[in-house]
Parts: sequence; structure tokens; C-alpha cells
Amino acid sequence: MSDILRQDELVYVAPTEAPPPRRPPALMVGPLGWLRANLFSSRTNTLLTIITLLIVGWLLVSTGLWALRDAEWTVITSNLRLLLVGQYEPSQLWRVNLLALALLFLCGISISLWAKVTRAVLLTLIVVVLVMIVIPLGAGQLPPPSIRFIVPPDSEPAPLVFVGNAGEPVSVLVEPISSADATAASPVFVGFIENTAGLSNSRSIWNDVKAKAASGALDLSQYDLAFTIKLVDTAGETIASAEATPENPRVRLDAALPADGWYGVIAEKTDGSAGYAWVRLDGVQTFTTQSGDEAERIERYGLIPDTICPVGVRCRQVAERDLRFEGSRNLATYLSVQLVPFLNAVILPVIVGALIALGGSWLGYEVKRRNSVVKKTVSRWVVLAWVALLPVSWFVLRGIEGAATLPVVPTATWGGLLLTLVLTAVAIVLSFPLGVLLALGRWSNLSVVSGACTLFIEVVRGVPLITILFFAKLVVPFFLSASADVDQVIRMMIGLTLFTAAYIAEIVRGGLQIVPHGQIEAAHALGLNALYTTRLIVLPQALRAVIPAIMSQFVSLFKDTTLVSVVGLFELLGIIDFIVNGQQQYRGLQREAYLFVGVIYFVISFGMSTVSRWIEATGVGAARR
Amino acid sequence: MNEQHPQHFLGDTIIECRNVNKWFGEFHVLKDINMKVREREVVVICGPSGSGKSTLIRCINRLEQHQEGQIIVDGIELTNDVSNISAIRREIGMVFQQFNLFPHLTVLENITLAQRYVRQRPRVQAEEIALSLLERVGIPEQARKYPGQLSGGQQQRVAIARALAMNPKIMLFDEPTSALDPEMIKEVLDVMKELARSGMTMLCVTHEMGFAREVADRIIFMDSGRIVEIGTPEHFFVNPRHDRTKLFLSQIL
Ligand SMILES: Nc1ncnc2c1ncn2[C@@H]1O[C@H](COP(=O)(O)OP(=O)(O)OP(=O)(O)O)[C@@H](O)[C@H]1O
Ligand SMILES: [Mg+2]
Repeated sequence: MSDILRQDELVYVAPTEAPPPRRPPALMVGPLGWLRANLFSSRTNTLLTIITLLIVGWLLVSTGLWALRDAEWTVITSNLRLLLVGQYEPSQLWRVNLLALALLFLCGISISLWAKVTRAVLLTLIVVVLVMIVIPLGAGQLPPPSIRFIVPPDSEPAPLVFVGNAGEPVSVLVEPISSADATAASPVFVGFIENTAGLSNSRSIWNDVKAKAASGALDLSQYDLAFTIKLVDTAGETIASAEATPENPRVRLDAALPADGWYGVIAEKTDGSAGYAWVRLDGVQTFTTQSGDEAERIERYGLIPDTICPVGVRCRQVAERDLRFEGSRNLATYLSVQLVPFLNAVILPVIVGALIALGGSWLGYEVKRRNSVVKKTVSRWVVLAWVALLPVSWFVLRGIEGAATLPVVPTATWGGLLLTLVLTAVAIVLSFPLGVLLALGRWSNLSVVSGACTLFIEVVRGVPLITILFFAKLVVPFFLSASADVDQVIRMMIGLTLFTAAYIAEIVRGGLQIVPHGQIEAAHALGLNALYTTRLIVLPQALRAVIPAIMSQFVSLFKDTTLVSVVGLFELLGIIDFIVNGQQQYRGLQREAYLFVGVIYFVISFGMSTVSRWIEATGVGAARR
Repeated sequence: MNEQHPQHFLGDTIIECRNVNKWFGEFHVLKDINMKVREREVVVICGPSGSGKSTLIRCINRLEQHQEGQIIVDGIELTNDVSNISAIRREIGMVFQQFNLFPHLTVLENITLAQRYVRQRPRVQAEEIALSLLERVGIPEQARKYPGQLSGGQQQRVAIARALAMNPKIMLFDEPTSALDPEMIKEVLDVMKELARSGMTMLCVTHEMGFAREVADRIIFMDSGRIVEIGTPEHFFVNPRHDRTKLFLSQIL
């Protein structure tokens, strides 16, 4: 150590050999080092870490407990279609599904054609795309829930009517209610038909039975209920029947429906003194209780025939409105009762969607490996498909006047996630070019153009969105007087587009300002005209600089679409009100619905900002240095 | 004096300024500028900061507009006529102090862009030209990089190649080396010298007096917006007449 020269002396010469590099002290690297440096670096930091963890933990635990134990998620499962597509004509849902699949396929092929993706990004993208697109597919394939009603000893249950189509398998099961069922801490999960007619209200009977069995006022061990259970068709002809007797109470009817039409399940009491029995129906489509459905049902199947439901008798209908679910609350029942039906509803579409997307990306990958001519042609077609997607979607979703295969589905019936996504997509696609043009107009030297653009931008930005939407609702028809009945969805699209365009214009203007003047001079000096200079030199740099800001504007746009409820459109958030307050049996289940919808909003917004960060880091936005 | 001043090879007048005046608002920045540049001539403009050197050469490719007098380049007078301006700009290459490469494009794209959109050359041809020019300025291996990945000297050489790719008749240089570290100045000056020897008409604003002495046919000295003295290097360095010129030379040499 003696040869180390003192550096504070007047003259210092470093030794010829540089010392070998050493490892940093152990406590500064690795996960431990990270913890120390970031969470426990000082006393205050340690305290803050602990407090934050406690608060976050408490919130997570209490929300989790509520979600797994108390929440009634069936409101989501049984209203999934409303949430996803609103009141879009159910028989035309294939159009939505088709578009979703096309979108997935395009995403898949584009990713492997153009993106240099890491595996993590790929996975995130797949998940996001699946969540965004695939869930709507589930809407069409919701399995019908099991329907139950109670046959009490003291009265004859009203017939139950439903509509069925030829070939549908239907089963009817009679199960006596034992005292074990009625008093069990976690009784079987049941779907009730709840009818407004007092006596045949299975839910109140069930509650009554449970209460009496628990207090010992009712002895369920005596069972001498005897009745015939019949499945009858439109003409009142019996298709299948069985005798439920005290000795053999547990009977089952299985039948494949012979034709389209009305059917009834009738329990005819032969004798009875004590005991209660469930009648459970499986495979029966529930009536959707949304506006217009009833009229359409009557048109298709006729009125409920009095052969099944004689005049003066009040019948039960298998209507969504009248379905009520009740069950026990623990993780197992949560899974089987709340989660499994949901997953059952979405699993098929998720798989189909994933296969299509993966197929697309596999195709893209194969094409990419081929020679560049093939790649170029395919890329061109894919670009074309993206460009065509939105207009094509519009026509497919809305239909064409007078076309037999694509009848018009009025936009007023669109709702839920579908409406939210359509509004967002249209407004993004239209507002971006409009915003860029406005920014260029404001930036230009032509003072009239610049003044007009500035005026527009400032006016729109100075007014709340809701005002713009009202304006769009009331004023747009005057401008487009040729077609006086511009539908509300188009008006809202115009409002959202104008609003977003003004903000995009301001963002892009910021980007234009940071392009150094020397860039424009260099372009001019090379002989590039104003158009080329703007297109090839200025805009690419300006836009690249503002990608994050633009994407976050699009995320706000996505969330702002909720405001279209002011004109009576039920987008994803607005439809909750429709579900929860419009249907008596879902009263009080707002929390579940809002949480679910909140999660959807979050996932999509988060996906959008992830994509934005990814574009910034790898794609056209990558820093060039 | 020596063979690097090939006065006798000079062609016809290619740039002519007649009584050019320019104002920035109230500020009279160019005062009665009269000068001529002949084909294949190398003219260096020097003068103190703020004397209007940049403004003058920027007027020649119409990055700035003059308000009085005439500027005639290659037989075309510069007016507000857009087609005249673009015709002129096609014939004039310009190299800036701050390089002004396009940061979002690779070196190759920087050089091919204007060829393709202004000269309408097919991509393959434009790239061939670009690569041979990169070879000429000594950095063929940098073609796929982005400007931000190059040193200042390399960037300036790309900028020269970018201007040359348009096959200009005239090259304007506005202090091409003053943003560079001393180590890089030489590599840029070498390229410029080679260009001068190849017979390019050049108008350079520079403070590199060594360069001026070696390659300039004439030197123009400006002060406060007017031309104070014009002369050959011998005249200028050995025998300056105007007191302002003498003062300037005594300060920088
Ligand atoms: N766009 C402009 N607006 C107003 N004044 C300007 C503008 N550009 C230049 N000037 C002024 O004109 C004068 C000449 O500028 P110019 O850039 O031509 O000088 P220069 O000789 O190139 O100086 P330097 O050696 O510092 O580059 C300066 O006083 C400058 O402040
Ligand atoms: Mg200057």
C-alpha cells in the first residue's frame, strides 16, 4: 500500500495498472438491496411503507371478502347480454360475434406481421384483446338456468309456460323437500320462479318452509304429496307425464320438444296432506324481459294458448324478470354458484376467440417467413382490412335498409360494452385526423384558416362535454336536414368526435412546437414542398413526441362515452341503471354491477395505456438515438 | 499563387446579387449587397458575428426573403413565384451549422428522402446514390444508424452527403464546423476541400481561415450588413485594404 500516491499532494500520477473492478457491497444489490433502498431506506420511509401496506391490505381483504361471500354475482351472469350488447336484437347477435372474430383475427395477424414483441407484451396483448373482444361472444350462448317452483300441500300450483323450439331437450325433476334441505346451514342453491300472484310465490313459500322447519313448527318427515306432472304442448296434448307418489316421490321427465311453440308444465294434485316438493326444469329458455321481446314472441309463437293456461288462471312464465337466485355463502358455493355459471357462459367464446387470434398470428408468422413479395401483398391486404373494418362494422352492426340477411337493427337498441366500444372506436378514428388537421390549420401561416381553427378549438375546449353532447343532440339535425332523423348514436359520435378532436389538436400543436425550425429549413433547402415537409418531416416528429398524451386523451374519451346516457342511450355504465332499477328482482344489487363494470373500464383503459407505453418503447415512437 | 486556385477554369456567373437589401422589421440587416459567384468558384464569406452572413446565404435559396434588389441564381430570378423557388432549391444544396438531419429517419433515409420525393428517383437508385455518397464522405458503415447515434463530425458529413444527393450545382455552407469539437473539424473540412477540388460551386460562411486560404478563390468580408471587402486570399490575408478588415484579421489570426 505504500506505493499509493497521495492525491492531495501537488503532483499525482495514477499507477499504470487500473485497479480491477470490485463487486458492490452485498447489502446494496439483489432483492434485499432493493427492499432496503426503496422501502426501508429511512425511519419515515419504513413507517410509510408499513402504513401503506396496512391500508392497501385492509382494503383488499374487505373487498375480497365481500366479493367472495356476500356479493350476488348472478346479476352479472343473468344480465351478461345486456351488459355486453344492450338490447341488440338477440337473433342478430351473430353479426357482433362475426365482427369480434374478424377484429381478433386482424389483431393476431398484425401483431406477428409488424410488431417486434417480447413475450410479456404478447401475453398482455392477448389478455387485453380477449377481455375486450371475446366476452361479448358469450352473450349469445348463456345457458338457461335451472328453474324451480314449489308444489305446496295446500294448493294447486299454477301451470308454468315456456316457449321451446323443435329438438330442444327438456327435463323436469320432482324432488321432495326434506327437513335436511330446509334446515341445512348452506341449503342448495336454487333458482326460483317468483310470481307476483301471492299464493304461488315459491320464494315466500320457501322462506316460510325454512323458517317453520327451523323452529320445529313444520315436520317435513311426513310426506304424502301425490301429483301427476305433465309436459304439454301448444294444443294441450301431453308429451310426457309421470306420477309422483309418496312411495316414489322422485320422478323425472325427459323429452325432446317436437316443434316450435308454447309448452307447459302442469302439476295436477291427486291427493295431498303434508310435505313440499320442488319441481325443477332444465333446458328451458327463459323469456328475455326486455322491451320489444314480448311483442316479438307473440308474433313468432302466438299468444299463450288457453289449452295450457285456461282463461282466468294465472300462469307462471319462465321470464328473466321473475327469476330469483338464492344460495349459501362460502367459497365453494361462490365458485359453483356464482363463478361457474359465469365461466360456463364465457368459456366457449373465449376459446373460439383465442383460437382465431392465435390462428391469425400464426398466419402472420408464416407469411413473415416467406419472401418479401408475399409479405408485402399480405401486409397491404391487412392494412386495407383495418381501414375497411370500421365502415364495414357499421353496416354489419346496423344493417342495410331492405336487405333480407342484414335487417336494420336500430342503433337505439345498441347498448352496453358494444355501444361503448363503437362510440370510442368511431370517435378515435375520426377525431385523430380531424385533430391533426385542426392543429396544422392553427399552426399554418394562413391567418383565416388559423383563426377559424383556433376559434373552433378554443370554443370546444371551453365547454363541458355534456354541453357538446346536448348540442349534438339538438343541433345536428338542423345541419343535416336532408335526413332529419339522424339517429342518436350518430349524433353522439359527432359530439364526441368534435370534442376529442379539439383536445387532440391542442396536443398535436404542442408536438408541432417542439419540432425545431431547422428541420423545416433543411426540408425546404432540399426542395421538399410544404406538403411533403409537413407529412414527411414535421408530423412524424411532432406526433411521435405526443403519442402518450394522445393515448391518454383516447383513454379519457373511452371513459367519457358514459355521458351519452344524457340522450337515453344505455352504454356500459348506463345499462346498470336499466338492469338494477328496471328489473325488480335485481334491486339492491348495484354494487356488484358497478364493480363489474368498473373492472371492465379499468382493464380496457389499462390495456390502452399499456399499448401506448409499448408503442412509445418499441414501435413508431421509439426514441432514435 | 498555386494550382488550388484554378481561376482560369471558372465558368459563367451562376449567382448574382444586385443591390440586395433586407430588413428584419426595422432592422436593416443587408445593405446594398452586390456580388457575383461564377461556376466552380469557391467563395468564403467571413465577418464578425451579426454581420448578416447567414442572412445573405439564406436569401440565396430563399429561406429568407430579400425586400429590395435582385438575386439571380442559374438564370432564374428569385421572386415569390413558388415554382421558381422550388426550381432554385433543387439546384442548391445547403449545409447548416446545426446539421439539421432528420432525427426520425436513418442516415440512408435522410439521404434518399428528397431524392425520391423531389427528384422522383426510384428507391433502389436513390439508395445506390446514397451509399456511394456515404463512401465519398467516408462513413459507408453508418447507413443504417440514426443521426442521434453518430458523432457531430459524422452527422455533418451525412448532411453534406444529403445535400449532394440532389446533384446541386451550388452548395451553401453556413458555418459547417463551428458546432464541432476540434478533433472533428478536420474530417468535415477534408470533405469540403475534396468537394471544392471536384469543381463544385461553393459559398461558405466560415471562420476557418486555413480552409479559406487553401481553397477559396475569393473571400468576401462583411460587417454590419454590408460587404466591406472582396478579394483573393493573397489580397485578403497579405494585403487587406479596409481598416475594418485589418481589425478583424488582427483579432482572429
Ligand atoms: N429572424 C430574425 N429576426 C430578426 N432579426 C434577425 C433574424 N435573424 C437574424 N437577425 C438579426 O440579423 C442580424 C444578422 O444575423 P445573421 O444570422 O445573418 O448574422 P451572422 O453574420 O450569421 O452572425 P453569426 O456569425 O453569429 O452567425 C443579427 O443582428 C441578428 O440578430
Ligand atoms: Mg450565422
